[in-house]
Parts: sequence; structure tokens; C-alpha cells
Amino acid sequence: MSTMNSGQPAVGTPIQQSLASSGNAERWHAFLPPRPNRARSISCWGAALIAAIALPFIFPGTLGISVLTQICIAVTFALAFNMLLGGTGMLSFGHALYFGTGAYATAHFLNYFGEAVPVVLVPLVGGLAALLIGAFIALFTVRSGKVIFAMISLAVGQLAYSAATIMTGWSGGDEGIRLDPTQAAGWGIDFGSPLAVYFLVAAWAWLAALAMHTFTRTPLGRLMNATRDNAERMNFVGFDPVMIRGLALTLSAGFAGIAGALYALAFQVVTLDTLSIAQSTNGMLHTYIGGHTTFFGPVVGAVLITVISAHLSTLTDAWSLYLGIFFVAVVVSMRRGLTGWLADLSRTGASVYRKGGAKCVVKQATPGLFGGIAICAGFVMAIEMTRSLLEGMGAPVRVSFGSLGTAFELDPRQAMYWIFAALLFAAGVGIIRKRHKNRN
Amino acid sequence: MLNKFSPVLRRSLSACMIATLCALGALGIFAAPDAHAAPPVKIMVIEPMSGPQSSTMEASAKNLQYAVKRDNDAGGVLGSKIDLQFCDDKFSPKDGKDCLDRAIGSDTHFVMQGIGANVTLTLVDAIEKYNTRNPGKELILINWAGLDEEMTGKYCSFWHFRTDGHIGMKMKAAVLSLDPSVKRVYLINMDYSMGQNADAATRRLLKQYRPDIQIVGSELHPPNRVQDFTPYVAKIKAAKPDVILTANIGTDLSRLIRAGNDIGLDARWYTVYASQHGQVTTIGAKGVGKVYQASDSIMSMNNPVIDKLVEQSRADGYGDFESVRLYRGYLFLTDAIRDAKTTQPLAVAKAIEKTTVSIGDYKATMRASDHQAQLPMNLSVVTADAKFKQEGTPWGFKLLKSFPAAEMSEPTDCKMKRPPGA
Amino acid sequence: MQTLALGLFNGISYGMLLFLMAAGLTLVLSMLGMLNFAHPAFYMLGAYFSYTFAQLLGLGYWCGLFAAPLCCALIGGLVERYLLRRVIQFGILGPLLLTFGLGIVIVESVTLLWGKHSVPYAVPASLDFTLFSLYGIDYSAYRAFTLVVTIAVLGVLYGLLKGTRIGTTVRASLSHPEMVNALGHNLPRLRTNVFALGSALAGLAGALSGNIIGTEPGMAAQLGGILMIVVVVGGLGSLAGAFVSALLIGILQTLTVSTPLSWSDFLTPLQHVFSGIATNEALTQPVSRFAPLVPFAIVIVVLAIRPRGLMGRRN
Repeated sequence: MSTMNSGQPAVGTPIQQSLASSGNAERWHAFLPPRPNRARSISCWGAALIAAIALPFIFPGTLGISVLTQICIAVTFALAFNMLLGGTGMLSFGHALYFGTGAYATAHFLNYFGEAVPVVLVPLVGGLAALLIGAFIALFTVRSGKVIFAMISLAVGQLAYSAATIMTGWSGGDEGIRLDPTQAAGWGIDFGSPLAVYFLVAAWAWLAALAMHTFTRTPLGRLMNATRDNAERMNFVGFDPVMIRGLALTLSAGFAGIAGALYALAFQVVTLDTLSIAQSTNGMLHTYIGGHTTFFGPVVGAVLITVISAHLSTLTDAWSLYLGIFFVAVVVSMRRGLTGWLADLSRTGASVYRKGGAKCVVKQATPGLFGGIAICAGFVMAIEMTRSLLEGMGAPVRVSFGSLGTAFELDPRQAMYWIFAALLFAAGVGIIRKRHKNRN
Repeated sequence: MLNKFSPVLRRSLSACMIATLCALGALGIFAAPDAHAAPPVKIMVIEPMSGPQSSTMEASAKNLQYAVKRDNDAGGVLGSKIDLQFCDDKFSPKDGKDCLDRAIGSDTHFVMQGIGANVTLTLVDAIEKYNTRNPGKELILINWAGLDEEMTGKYCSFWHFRTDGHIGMKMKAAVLSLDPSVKRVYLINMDYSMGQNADAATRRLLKQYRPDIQIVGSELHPPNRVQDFTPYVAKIKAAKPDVILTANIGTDLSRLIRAGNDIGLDARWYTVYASQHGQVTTIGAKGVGKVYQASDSIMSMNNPVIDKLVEQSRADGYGDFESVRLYRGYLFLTDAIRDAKTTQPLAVAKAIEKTTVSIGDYKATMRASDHQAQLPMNLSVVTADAKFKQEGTPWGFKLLKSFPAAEMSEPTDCKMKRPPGA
Repeated sequence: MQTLALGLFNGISYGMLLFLMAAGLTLVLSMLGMLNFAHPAFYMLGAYFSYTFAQLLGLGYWCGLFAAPLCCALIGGLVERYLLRRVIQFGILGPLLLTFGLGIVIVESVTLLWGKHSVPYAVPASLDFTLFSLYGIDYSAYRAFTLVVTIAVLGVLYGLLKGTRIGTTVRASLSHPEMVNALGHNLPRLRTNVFALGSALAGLAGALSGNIIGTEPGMAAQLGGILMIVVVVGGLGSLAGAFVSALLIGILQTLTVSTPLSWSDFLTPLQHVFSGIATNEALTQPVSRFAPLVPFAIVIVVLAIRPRGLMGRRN
């Protein structure tokens, strides 16, 4: 490194040495953080877009397209929610307010302006309306700490819901507001077909996600992260954390409003449910289960939970109990959500593979997997049999694996099945404990 | 001990989760629908089967299953068995629409729904749009419990049939059954569409039929939110009414009446939903002789066919046959299918328009102009000498007075758009 | 005058009920620094347990009244020891989300085990009579009993916290937990006990009021919103603040319901200025219809003016 000036002794730190010897400003690159890989990110987003376009052909049929549309809406809402939670560290329990505002604004706008409105641009209206509401709310809610913000947001959300129930003039009350995208300017596209609506929703969801992702790279995005980490220090550095939080809330509200507008276009009837606490809870569930520390965590959570909710209720009436237990389990054991856990898993899996090969990986994984299945199976059996006894006149619980063609019947009136469920549960716990003991 | 458990707990939970996800993936996403040999007549019931609104369907679902079982045992409809499916709409329009998509996907053309006006109107809207684009594969919605008048008024649709009286008809029964000695009346309702409808309808009907009655007060309270009705009933007691008219449902009704009993409120209660499961237990002894109900059906209707149905349902282990309302909706559908001799939706819809359902002497007719069933209403009261007691208490509802369907009829402003061929 | 007197009386009675429910929440919040979203669920458990002991098992109301808070304390202790301790290290959000999820799980489990309908948890026959009558409104002895028990329990609690050594230790552990630990007190066990106590208070509230209000699966959800408002308005962590705010919200909401006024009545003094407005349809709505919005309006106003609540400490 010091061959250029031969005969001269090297002075200073290694960094200074190398800089002095090269005399070239490009050497700074070695010490800067890595540049985002443009090619990789473009191909990732491109792949996502192609997947979004291809999916309705893989899962055709009205239910498939409907669930895909719901996934897009849920993803947009969860990402908007995470802008506050993961990005700025603020937990908002009343985020449905902005979702509902977007939905109602879109519905009224379409109904009022009819033919002149291009459907493709309509979600902007919803986003703008929600943005304004978010700015207004931010004026008096972001001054206090995180816990108080959580509760104020709950209060504001409930207030909006109650007010909408009373003032049925503009909320349509229970019956809601109907809208018909085919009445507006479709620019040649027939928006009566669910497939066309799906493409519109998917395109908007993709654009919104791209916008939110780009936003995290902007200075304001970084400032939001900094406020999350240490608000007091922000004050000393010279930025006003209240202002930053307010901006974060406003923008998050805007994107939540876009999600609401997409809902209005997809379901074509906007009811009070868009403002309900269930909607806020859904967003929170998706985000937290998927992982609020990464950008794509909420996407994973939204996709997974939407698909599960759509199908779980056909299998069992106790689906909300299972979902609640799942949420509690994630909160207790996975701080960074499913994406964080999968990342950890892949890292440990890779290191185990490097040490012992594929056989070692299988040997490590199987007890955990079987133990987990046993615990779940035993627990689910017990709950389903309890439910059948207490509500379903003690009818046998039918467990069928339709695609595999087999079915089991569990009769809750016979003790044998209860003992079997208990044994299964105990066996699962035992396997996990044993494996843990062996590892330590 | 604790230290050893925590990672175990963590790992078990993590392992459970991945196992659950795999299992659910296998069960839910890749489950293929079975192919039946002989095509059954498929009916899908879209109602809240879980969550806070699901208590109604807990009993009513069994009633419908019993009716279907009896029909299937007797040979089914047009030689085909009836395939009854329940889909949980979780009281939300989004999941209601999912259920509708499932119906479309499983080639089901007959849908029944009644609980939740938000879901009903979403379904009506979706069905209209789908039917326009898919002639020959249309869906029919039998609304067996919706109360808002607009469903067969402003929002009326050719493919939607309401087989129960709407809130205007029920309040009409209540108003007409007020005896001449009643001079002061108090209105209290839940502050959402149905309650607001009830309030407006009662005022209109009182002005029309009993202009001598003075409305001494009216109240709209937040639905499902009020814990303590004491201030409300204190206000009522101060107004000294003879009769209190309310269309409250569920806990709002039971809390209201209980609060009234607690403060010694002495007026008579004219309700619409007091015979729902669980109410009589809460109303208790203090309601005997004071709580009336104006509705389409109760268990003891002095109708031998219904009485036999109630007894058989209990004997066969299907519980109390409380939901004649749901049964009537089902009968409209099956009778029309038999009359039309086909399961083609358009033909069945045209047949429902002309159907009269008879259960013994009880007759309900569908009105073609707005698809609102015309049916008799009755007034009943909580007594200790009812034929069928409810929920294991010593009280039940006894029929006092019956109003013929013609008297219960209400005008409509429906401008129905009929599809081609109808 | 009669309306005002009745409104005040009803308002105070409702406010005391709110305070009993919020007291446990405030206690946990001030001592542990965490907001327990599962508090309404424990309230529900208290009512259901009391019903089970009193009527299903036939042991009588008094047994239920004692056993229900104990069961809730046991469950609360277990929850704190095995679940909450693990998530406290995740920052503020961990306990919030965990208790939120737990609330859902508890409510769903109760619905699974006891059914979706309301259960007939009844007022005990020994207290089911009218104690006195005010302006023609009868007040039952059971309500008076509830009021007495509330005041007694909270008096004991206040005395415990301010007067005894345990109370001093608990208060010290809020601001100087490490020091308290270093001085030899078993801090983790103390925290578990405080959480258990908070849950017991919630269970007691449920056992006392479940038979007046009705014991059914939706009771926890209905209560959640207003409890949070009471605690926030009172100031996070202040028991006296929660008392004041519970009474304030109870009285204001009840007065709003009791009044026969409408918005236009407020504008009549300004009639000559705004002629014609008073007869507008929107303004002839009775004020009582907007009673559910009163707690929200209060919380927004209070927090806009005084973000730390009425009597909250500056953190």
C-alpha cells in the first residue's frame, strides 16, 4: 500500500495511510455504508408486480379473485399502519378512522360526480380526504407520549364510529353507501368485472407500497426512525419530534385512506364496518404477526392472516380463539414477528447445515416439528370437542383432509378421545423439553 | 425452573406455529370440493355463526337443520335432496361477500340471510351486479329477518325477497293493539338504522291511527353501549306514560326492562323482540302481564301444526323450535321450487312472487310489487300459563290477538327494475 | 331541579361503578407502568366466576363474591409471572399488545365455555328490595350495597398504599426499582402481587355489577373504551385522578341523558341574532342523543389542554 512513495515511512492510521498513498477520493467508498443494490430492488419489485398480475390466473374463480383483492387492500393498510408502528414507534388503535374516511369519501365522490370521474384515479380522492383528517387529528394528539397516543387514537376512532352511527345522513347508517364504478369514466375498461377491479386494486397497492418503501429512504423517513429510537436526542440534534410524528401520522393516514378507497371500489358498498375497531385490530394483527421491524413484515402478515381468516371460519367456529392464541404466542415468543423468526431460522439452519450437512438439519428440525404438530393437534382436538359438546349437541367432530381423501371422526362423548388429545399434547411438550435438554 | 421453561415455551410455540401454518395450508387452500352424483338443491345460509351476534343463529340454525332433515326424509324437493350449508359472515359485509363468492363457486343459487342490514344490502348490491352479467346462473336472496323498510322500498330488487314483516308492519301491530284507555306513550329505540326507522314509523302510525294518543317523550340511545339504563328509565318514569313502545333487541332490551323493573316503572312494555332466546329469563317475574310483543310468530301460536313441530323438535333432540321466522323463509323457497318444477333461478323467482305459504291455518303471501311478504301479525304477552315455556323458565308468550295480513299491509315506494324475461 | 337532582344522583352512582372498574387498572398502571388491556376481560371473568360459584355450583352469592376475585387474582398472577415478564423487555409495546391479545383470548374462552347467550346471574334475594325512593324513582338495596362495598374496598386500598410498609415499598418500586431490589425486597414477586391485586379488583367489580348490568359475552368489549377514557382523563397512574374523572364522566354523561333539552334550546338566548337557525332540523335533535359522544369529547378536550390528564404526574 505504501509502495508509491518508496523510501518514505508510513505515518498515521491505516485509513490515513491508504488515503495518503492512493491520493484518490474514490477510496472513500470502502468506508461508506453499502449502496442499495438498484438492480436487485428493481427486479424484486418487478417480480412482485408480475406475481400480482399472474395470481388471479392461478387462483381463478370468484372467491379466489375476491380473496386476492382483499389481500391487496390488507397489505396497503398494514403497510400504512406500520409506517406509524415500525417507522415512528407510535401504536395507533384507531387507524380504521382513516380507512373509513377514504372509503366514504370515495363513495360519495363517485356518486356525486358520476360520469366525469376517471375510476383509475379515484383512490387519490380517498387518500387526500384521509390525509386531511390525519393532519387535523395530528394537531392535538401527537404531543403526548406513546401510551397516551395509543389511547387517544382509540378514543378518536370510537368517537368517529359513534358519530357515524348517529349521523346517518352521510354515512348511510347500517345500510351504507352504494357505489357503481361502471357509472364513472372507465377509460374503456369494464369495471363491472371483478377481474378488472382486482387489477386496479393490485396496481394501486403496488404503487402505494413502492411509494411507502421509497419514503423510508428519504430524509423524513430516516428522521421518523430516529424519533422512534430516541426522541429526546432528536430535540438536541435540532429536529422537533412532535412535528415529525405529526407528519408521520398525516402520511400514514393518507395511505390508509388509499386502502379504504380500494375497499370501496372492490366491495362497492361502504358500511360502518370500515370505521369499526375490528378494522383497526386487523391492521395491527397483520403488522405485528408479520413483523413490524422490517418493511415487508406487514405484507407477509397481511397475506397470511387474510388467507387464514378467509378459510379458517369454514373449518371451525372457534377461529377467533385460535387467532387470538396465535397472536399471543407471536407477541410472547417472536419479537420481530414471523419474518424475523424466519430470518433467524434460516441463519441457524444455514449454520447447522455448514456444520453437519442435511442430515444434521433434519435431525434438529424433526423433533421440533413433530412436537409442535402434536401440541397443536392435541389442543385443537380438545377445543373442538369442547365446543361440540357445549354448542353442537355433542355431535362428533369431523376432521377431514379433503385433498388426501381421509377423514377422522372424534366423538366428544367418549373419554377415549379426550385421553388421546391429552396424551398428544403431553407428548408434544415432552418432545420439545427433551430436545431442549439435549441441546443444552 | 422458570429459566428452563422459557426457551422451551418459546420453542414449542414456534414449532406449533409452523405446524399450524402447514396444516392450515393443506386443509384450507388445497381442499377440493366434492362432486356429488345427483345434484342436490343447494341452499346457503349466510349469518354470523361466531362472535357477539351469533347467539341468535345458535338456536335458529338447529331449527332449520331440523326442517331440512324432515324434508329430506320425506323425499326432498323435486326428487333431490336439500344441501344446507352455513357460512359465517362474522357480521361484516366483507365476509358476507366472501360467503356469496363461495356460493357462486359451489354452484349454489339460493341464499338466505337476515341478521345484519349492512350485510343484506351489500349482498343485494353484489347479487344484482352478478346476475346482470351472468344470466342463467343468477342468485336469489331470501331475507328472512331484515327490518329496515328501505330494503323493499328504496333498495328493492327483483332478486331479493323479504319473508318477514318489516319494522313498520310490526309497529303497526303494536299501535293497533293499544286499547282505547291508552293516552300517553313513550318511544325509546336504539340509535341506528333499525331503531331510527322504528321511531319514525311509530310516529307516523300513531298520527294516522291514534291521533288521540300523546307522545310524552322519545329517546334514541346508543346501541350496544349503554351499561346502565337508570337515567333513561328515570326519564321515562318522570313522563308517566301508559305504554312504552320499543323495538330494542338483545341486551339493550333486557337491560332496559330490568332497569325499569328496578326503579319501579309501572307502565306496559310493547316490544318487538322480547321472545328472543334469553330475554324471558332476564325479564323475570316482574314482566308477567306487563311485557307485550308484536311480532310475526311465537312458539305458542294456537296452531296445531306449529305445536306439533315444536314438540317433535324437542323430542328429536333439536331443541326449542323458536324460529318460525326462518322456517317461513325456507318454506317460501321450497314451495316456489315445487311450483316452478325447476331450480332455474329466474323461474323460481317468478314463482316466489306468487307463492303463498301455509302452515296449518297460517298463511303468508308474497307481494309481487316489492317482494315483501304479507303476513298476519300477532300480539302476545308474557304469562305463566303459556303453552310452551321458554328457556326452562316458568313463563312463555301467550297469543292475545291476531291481525290479518291485509290489515298489516303497508304501502311501498319500490320502483323495481325487472330483468328481461321476468 | 328534579331532573338535576336525579341526574346528579344517578351520575354519582354510575361514576362510582366506573371508578371501581377503573381502580384496578390505575393501580397496575401506576405501580407497573403498563396499561392492561385485558382488564375488561378480568372484569368479565369475575362476573362469570361469581355466577358459577353462586348459582351453577349452588354455593350462594356471598361465596361467589369472595371466590371470584380470588380466582381472578390467581389467573392474573399466573399471567404476570409467565407471560408479562417475558414481554416487558420488549419495550412499551410488548405488554400493551400482549394484554390486548390476552383480552381477546379470555373473552373467546369464556364464550366457548359458558355459551354465547347471557347467563342469568341474579341479584341475591336478601338484597333484592327497594331501599328508598327519590322523586318517585326506587333505588334498590343492592345498588346501595355495591356503593358501600366500593367505598370500603377503595378506602382500604388507599390506606394500604399510603399507610403501610408494603404500600411504601410498592410506591418506591415505581421510581427506583433497582434500589428496592438491592435493598432486599423481592421485586418480581411484588410486581406479580400487584398485578394479581389489580385483577382481583376487576373481578370484584364484575362480581358486584354483573347481575345489575347483565353477564354476557359482549360485556368486556362494551367496557373497554370508557375505562381507557376514565384512566387517561384522570391522569395516568393517579388513583385520585381516576376517582375524579370517573365521577366527572359519570355525572356529565348521565346529565346529558337526563336532560330534555335540545341544541336549539341553547341557542334561544341568541334567537334575534341567529333567527331561523334554531328551527333547523339538525338542531332540534335532543342533546341526550349525543350522550355517547360525551366521554370522547371530554378526553379530547382534557388532553388538548392538559396532556398529562387531570391529576397526572409529569413523567
